[in-house]
Amino acid sequence: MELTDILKALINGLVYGSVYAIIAQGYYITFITTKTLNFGQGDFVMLGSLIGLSTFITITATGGSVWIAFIASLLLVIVILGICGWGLEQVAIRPLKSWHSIGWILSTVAVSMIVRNVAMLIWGRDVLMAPSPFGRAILDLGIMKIRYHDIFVLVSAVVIMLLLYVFLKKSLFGKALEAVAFNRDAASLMGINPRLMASIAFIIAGILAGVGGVLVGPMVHPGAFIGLFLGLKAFAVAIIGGIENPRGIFIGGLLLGVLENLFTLYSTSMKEAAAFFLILVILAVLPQGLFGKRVKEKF
Amino acid sequence: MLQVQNLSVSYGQASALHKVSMEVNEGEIVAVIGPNGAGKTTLLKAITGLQKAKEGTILYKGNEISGTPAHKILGYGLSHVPQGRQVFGDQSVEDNLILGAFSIKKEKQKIQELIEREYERFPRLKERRSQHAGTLSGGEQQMLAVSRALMSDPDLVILDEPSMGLSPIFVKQIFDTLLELKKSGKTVMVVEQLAMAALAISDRAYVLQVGEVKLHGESRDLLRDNSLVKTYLGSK
Amino acid sequence: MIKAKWWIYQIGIPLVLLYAFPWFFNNAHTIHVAQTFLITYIVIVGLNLLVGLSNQLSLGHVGFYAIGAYASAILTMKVGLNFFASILISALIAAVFGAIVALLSLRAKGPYLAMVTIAFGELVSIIANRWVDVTGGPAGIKTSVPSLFGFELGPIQYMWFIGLLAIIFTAGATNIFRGRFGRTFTAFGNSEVASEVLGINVRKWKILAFSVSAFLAGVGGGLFAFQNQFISSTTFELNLSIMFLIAVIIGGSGTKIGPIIGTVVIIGLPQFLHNFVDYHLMIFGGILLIALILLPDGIVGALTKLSFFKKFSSKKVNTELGILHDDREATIDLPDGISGKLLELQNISMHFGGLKAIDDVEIEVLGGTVHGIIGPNGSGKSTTVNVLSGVYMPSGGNLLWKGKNITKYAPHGIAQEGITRTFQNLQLFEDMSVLQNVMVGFHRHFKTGFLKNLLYLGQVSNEERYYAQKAYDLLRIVGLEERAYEKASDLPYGEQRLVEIARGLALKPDLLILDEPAAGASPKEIEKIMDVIQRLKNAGLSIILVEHHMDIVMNICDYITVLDFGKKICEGTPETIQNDPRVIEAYLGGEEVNQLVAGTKFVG
Repeated sequence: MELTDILKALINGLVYGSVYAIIAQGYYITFITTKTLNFGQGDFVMLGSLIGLSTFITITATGGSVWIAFIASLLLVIVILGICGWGLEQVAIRPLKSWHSIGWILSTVAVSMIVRNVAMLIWGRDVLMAPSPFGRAILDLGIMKIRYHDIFVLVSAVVIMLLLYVFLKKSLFGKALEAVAFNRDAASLMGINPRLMASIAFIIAGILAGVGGVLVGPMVHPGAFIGLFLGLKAFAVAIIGGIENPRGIFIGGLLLGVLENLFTLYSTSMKEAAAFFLILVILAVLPQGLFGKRVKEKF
Repeated sequence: MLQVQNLSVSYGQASALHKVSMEVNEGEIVAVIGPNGAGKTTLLKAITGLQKAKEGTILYKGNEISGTPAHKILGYGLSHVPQGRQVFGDQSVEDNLILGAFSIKKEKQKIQELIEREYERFPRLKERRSQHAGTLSGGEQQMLAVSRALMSDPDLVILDEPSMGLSPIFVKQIFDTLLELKKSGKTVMVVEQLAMAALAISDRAYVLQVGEVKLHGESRDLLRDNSLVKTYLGSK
Repeated sequence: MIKAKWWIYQIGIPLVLLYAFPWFFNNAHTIHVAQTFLITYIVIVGLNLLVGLSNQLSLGHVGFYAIGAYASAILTMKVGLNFFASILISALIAAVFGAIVALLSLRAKGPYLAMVTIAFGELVSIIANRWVDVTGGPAGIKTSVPSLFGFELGPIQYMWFIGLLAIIFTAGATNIFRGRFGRTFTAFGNSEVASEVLGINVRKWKILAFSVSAFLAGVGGGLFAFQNQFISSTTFELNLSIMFLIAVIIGGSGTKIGPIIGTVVIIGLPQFLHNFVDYHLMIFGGILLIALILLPDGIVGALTKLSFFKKFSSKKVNTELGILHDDREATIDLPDGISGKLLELQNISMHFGGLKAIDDVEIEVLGGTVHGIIGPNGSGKSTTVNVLSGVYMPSGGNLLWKGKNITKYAPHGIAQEGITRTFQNLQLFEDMSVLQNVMVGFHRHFKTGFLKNLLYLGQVSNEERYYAQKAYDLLRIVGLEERAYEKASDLPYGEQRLVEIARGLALKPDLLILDEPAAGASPKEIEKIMDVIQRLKNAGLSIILVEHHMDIVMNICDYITVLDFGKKICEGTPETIQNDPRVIEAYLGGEEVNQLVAGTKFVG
């Protein structure tokens, strides 16, 4: 094994990890506001990648420029997945909010089944090729080669994290969202409508899934059945980092991505197992994840 | 200004308030006192929509507000400082104040003015403006909670045990603030455990016991009433 | 249920149906579906015990299922064991893994718990996929045709065999449901902390629940391995775990016949949707979503709400009661009184972060007395009770019980020593009747073990009847005998508090801690509660009473400790306390404050 292999695994890991982290932020934002999350988040990612792919191909095929196509597909995905997030909250979360957690786990799974079926009807059962706006361009650093798309993903992920951070910490709506998360009653005394905030949280989660899908599309072969795998990875990341800690989730994402890819150097089966093994070990020791809050229950 | 009529509240099977009637007139300070578990907090929560009432009506300036969800109450000009401060601990002092003005959504200029007004009221808050609210002392948190509630420029301020867990010097400061609010034309309703202090600053008071109004009247009369100590420490 | 009736409904009718099935539906496909149904049903019965009774979540049951399947395949093919023996051994292996998963997930809650189980399931599925030498991976491995005593079992015989096992396991599950094991599973599923203070070692019981559930999943997996004489890793994926869970919830989690209906839905529906294969997921998802919204308690739960089906109502644990006597006098069964120091708190402190909830508190409780702990909001009373009952481990100081240091005991350990408590925020077992709630309190006195309960031997039913009578006597003491069969959560608040007191008494405690027993009760109920406490005092029970209603405290307590800001400010008899200026100050506001405020009034 050479140093370049390790370096390559590292960069690959950061790229994948950052996408997982972006998707996982969706879990964070809905969990803090509603104590629920979308178990079908992965299928929203899938939907995002496929809508992005179709839009991109349609526009480039009619002679549109690559970047116009990319931006158009991104915008379309944001709109559609935002609506999906809103709809999910309406049909699968709001009607059964007060019940046991198995309720919302299964209701969001139910929606994901429907989403997957719709995707199957539109895009078929096979995996597709998603072109990157950078094509197959490669940056040659001498010691190693990196795809431009990978660099783009990494940079985008950081930008999205920053945008999310700015939104939560600086905008009035973001502050209101955090206020609801911190103390629902006190927030409503400020005139903040917690139900509206729940909807907004799910819209943002949907958008994050969609954008994650657009970014990840060219890295995997998107198809109607990729959702489960992506959603599971992102969920693992959220749990490792501590689902109520956005920075923890980002670090957790990078950590998992890098570890996975380092394991690939030994064997691909270890790569697959790494995430889940890591989780069992971490949760046995730290039941709230690496950076989660520990709270004492009162009786 | 505020009229509560035959209000009953229960939590599941537990009855917390039973046919409570009371009123607050414009410009006065009204105290609600009584031992722990008397239903004082429940009364406030029912008024501001945090707790559903089983029966009874609540009128504010002649409008029926019972059943209005909490986030809409502020729109009527009624602001509630909840028990135990409940400041947003992981946000800065200034952000807490900004959130207090969430409902008015006025231009930045106006919000800035309001913030400055509150900083004048409690200079301590200005010193700590960028600190996380969770790191403030209890007394400072209470100041913040009061200021946050005043950011929407309410006509009626409702406070739930502002003295809880505070040292006397902070209690005095908070109570002074209530008197100042009254002077500036606001109406105040305050729930207190520190009965004597609450009676000292209020115009009228209601004594709650086990979910019912036991006594009410002018605060100065109640101060002299011997039965008060008994409601607190029991009789044998 | 009477014995004969039990045999008819649990064993007789199902056996006849099973035996007759092939005469009505004799084609290969239907027999195969029936086998799948029965195998899945066994898994669901196990998952229902875990999810329905003990409220744990498992999204990793496919892991146990796969372990059962592969282990029995290997044991028959490579070791050469009989298929049935290998299934049983594999199920035991699965049970061990169940215990491991339980241990790993003990402290995890909500999504974290979901993740632990998912991670386990996924790990098993990855191993099945990748360890091709042993599992055959996606290409699969062959297993043998099942045979018993030299006879090869054809499809119909194999279906009979699976059905027989299903009937046996159902009978076992029913026995578990109606006895103390089911009650204990339900108890800690409803409230872990209340179970602990009644002496239930929740950690141990969770492990048991996971093991039993995993065992049945293992049996299902083993049976599956021989259904087609072939298994491949593609079967064992997360989706299957989700399907199992769906069956439990749609059927009606925690009910006895829920698993049958749930299994019908997940096995039957795809048969009907055969012609709509392109829309299969969508229809299934839609039905699931609608069912979750409209039938939160599952199909069985919804049916039992209709009065016509009320008599079949089988929600949650039932107890075979026998006849409860009202004639003999109900007495309070208490241990011999102890005079002198019973409990000592030595310099107990409890810090949360920087906050000192209680600080250096010293309290001595004497045997046979009622010791009051009072103080304003936030003075540290609740924290003190939590420390006393082992719910919190104190940051400093010692807790001595009859001279023995019990500072580091878990709540169930403290309960075993004879200390129990009630809760300010009621912690009743909501899914149980009033009587069953009290019966859980006898936990530490029950003697019968798991196997005896599985078979529901005479000893078990005797024991059940004995303690049902005792529980009933306790309800008579608190005046709730007429409410015995009602759901505990349907009672008025004040009566719920009395149920908690009766439940605590069932432990036969040396010390009973009452945490605000009158909070939220109506004046009438308060009188009742006061009367009960007074009678307990007269019977010689040692009590710690935390209460806000001063009438109760001043009239009942022998001695009172007053806390303020986490410190003990004074203690003494009720008269002393009522006249102590420090107490009046703590409650009504000190002179200092009054003067300050009064001063401003005149200045202002």
